[in-house]
Amino acid sequence: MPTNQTPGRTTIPVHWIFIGLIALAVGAWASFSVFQTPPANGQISGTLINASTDLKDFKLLDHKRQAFTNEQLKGRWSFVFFGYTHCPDVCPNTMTVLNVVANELKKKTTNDLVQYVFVSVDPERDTQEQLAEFIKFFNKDFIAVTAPIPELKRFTDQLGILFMVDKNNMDKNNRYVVDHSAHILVFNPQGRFQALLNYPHDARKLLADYATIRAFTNQ
Amino acid sequence: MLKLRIILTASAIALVTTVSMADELKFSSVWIKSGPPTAKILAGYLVVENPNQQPVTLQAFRSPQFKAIEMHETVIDAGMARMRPVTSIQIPAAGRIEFKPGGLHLMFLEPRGTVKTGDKIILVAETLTKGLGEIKIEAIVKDATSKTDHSHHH
Repeated sequence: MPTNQTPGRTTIPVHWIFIGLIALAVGAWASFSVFQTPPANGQISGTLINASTDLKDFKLLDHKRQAFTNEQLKGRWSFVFFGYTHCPDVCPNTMTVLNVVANELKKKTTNDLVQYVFVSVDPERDTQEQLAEFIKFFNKDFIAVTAPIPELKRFTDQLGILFMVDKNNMDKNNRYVVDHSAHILVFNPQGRFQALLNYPHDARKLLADYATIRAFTNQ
Repeated sequence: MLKLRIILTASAIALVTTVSMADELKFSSVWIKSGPPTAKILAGYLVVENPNQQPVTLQAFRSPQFKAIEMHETVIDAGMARMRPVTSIQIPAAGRIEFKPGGLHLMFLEPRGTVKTGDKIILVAETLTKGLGEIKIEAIVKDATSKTDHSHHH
């Protein structure tokens, strides 16, 4: 490529400058993606929570009739989903996705403890026996919990999770639905609320978000 | 003679038109998601195509193997999952509707016996369209992670 050169001076040919810039850009990109920690805002399909406070006390009962309190959220990462066993679509599908996530994480991580908790917001129908049958179907290590509604609210209100038993539209067989937040919540090993992940849930997305959360929180 | 021929031809055309106006709906990928053995409710999904030049209304479904089947739609409203009952659904002319996870689905209520993966369930789709009436379909029970079946049944 001919360059305009003023007689008596040497100028770097344009194409060399161009190559130089590209090399610089590639180098910068490479170092950014390989060595840089995830962006400060931790891009996940949801919201990262400022986990600076402990949760206020709550007490739920799991499918083995054991207490599920703040203590049970400590010492491990937790994925928590709210629903009810009479939910045919969103709940079973999400639990299936969580099972895929559980199997993948089990393969990869070493000493990390991760637990998966299904919180039923329909204590009227979801007895401990019902919960045990339900949760076993998805993964024998998963936990299902519930409590009377006032106690449930003590947990959900702190998390911005909503649910509503809709008995206005009961059918002739007295079946009712429960509207509920469809997010997956992540709690860190201090038992604090760390992230809110948006529906719809997909195993690959959840695994990526979990990795981002771990990297971002340096835990 | 000509008049008779015209009448006959017109009748033949009318007859053929009437018959072809009611082509059967085509159901495919009809499956029911397996659940815990004690589950009283299971979700089912399918694809339905309407080859006719007129819309066809799907009124209801039933199965001898379940007490009742309802149509519902999952609606996500500001992060909250809700279910809206669907009393009838119109399949557009030359159109296609998909019942899939997170959207329209069938709710199979109270199985008459255990339902497990691999089971074949008889399903009857009821339409409101003259000449169509009911359509018998076969659904297969599958685990959630398996690929959707492509069985075509009328």
